[in-house]
Amino acid sequence: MTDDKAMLDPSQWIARYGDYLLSLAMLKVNNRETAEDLVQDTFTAAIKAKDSFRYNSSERTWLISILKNKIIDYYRKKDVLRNVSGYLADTNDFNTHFFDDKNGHWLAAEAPLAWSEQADTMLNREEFDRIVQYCISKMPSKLIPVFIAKFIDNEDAETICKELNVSSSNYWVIIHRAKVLMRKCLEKNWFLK
Amino acid sequence: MKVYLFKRVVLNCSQATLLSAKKEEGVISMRERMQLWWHLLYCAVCRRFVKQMQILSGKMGEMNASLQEHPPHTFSTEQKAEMQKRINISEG
Repeated sequence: MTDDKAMLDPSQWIARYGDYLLSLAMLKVNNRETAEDLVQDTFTAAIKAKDSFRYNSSERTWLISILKNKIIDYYRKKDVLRNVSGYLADTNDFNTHFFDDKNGHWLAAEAPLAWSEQADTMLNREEFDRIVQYCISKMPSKLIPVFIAKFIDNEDAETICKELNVSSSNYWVIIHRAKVLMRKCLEKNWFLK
Repeated sequence: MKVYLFKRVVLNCSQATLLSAKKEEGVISMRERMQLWWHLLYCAVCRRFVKQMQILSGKMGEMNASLQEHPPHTFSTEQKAEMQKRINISEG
């Protein structure tokens, strides 16, 4: 028993994971005060749940999963996850901003442009992260949870649909819209610079 | 009739880019895979979209690790001390 707990070292939590969890939370809720509260709640919950920690999990993964649940609760409270179908239906003219209404082909002004050859190798990591964060903050809020779960948390479609309670067909519509928006935003702010 | 059938089988760019996301996650049907393949064969713009998205997906997938290495947002020293103190107390 004591061995299990020996794997957790709460005296180092803030130093090791504080800023990281804060940055992760900022990405997902984009509000400093909320993000700080969520991280503090995470540590409080972690202390209380210490006995549920399994030594085959890593301390980091365990803390991230607690934060993730806190954020899902927050999304629920803020109605971010409610009536996603209705939202997608109400905004089904999304495609017309990027694709020709009649034939479904790219609008000339929105078609992906060629990026410079070295675009991906020249990326400065921190700068790229900053712009991605900016582009996420510009996305419609109903698209954000799914987008981050897929692209930043690297979760699979099935897990995401279950956790965030979205249907499979809505999932693909969200991923499609978010990708189109993210690509465009990064192109504008980074790849053509 | 011929034209009608053709239109039903051939994807437009909006549909093709959606299917490319399904393909990336490996949940694409054989029929969809063929449709996408055919579309990409003649549509250079969508080929470009798919290629750029692969670059972006890869870069974004690494972001989690990068956030840990260089967290863009940080607590102040005072906040950290306060938070750690609270942990120490509740840990008893």
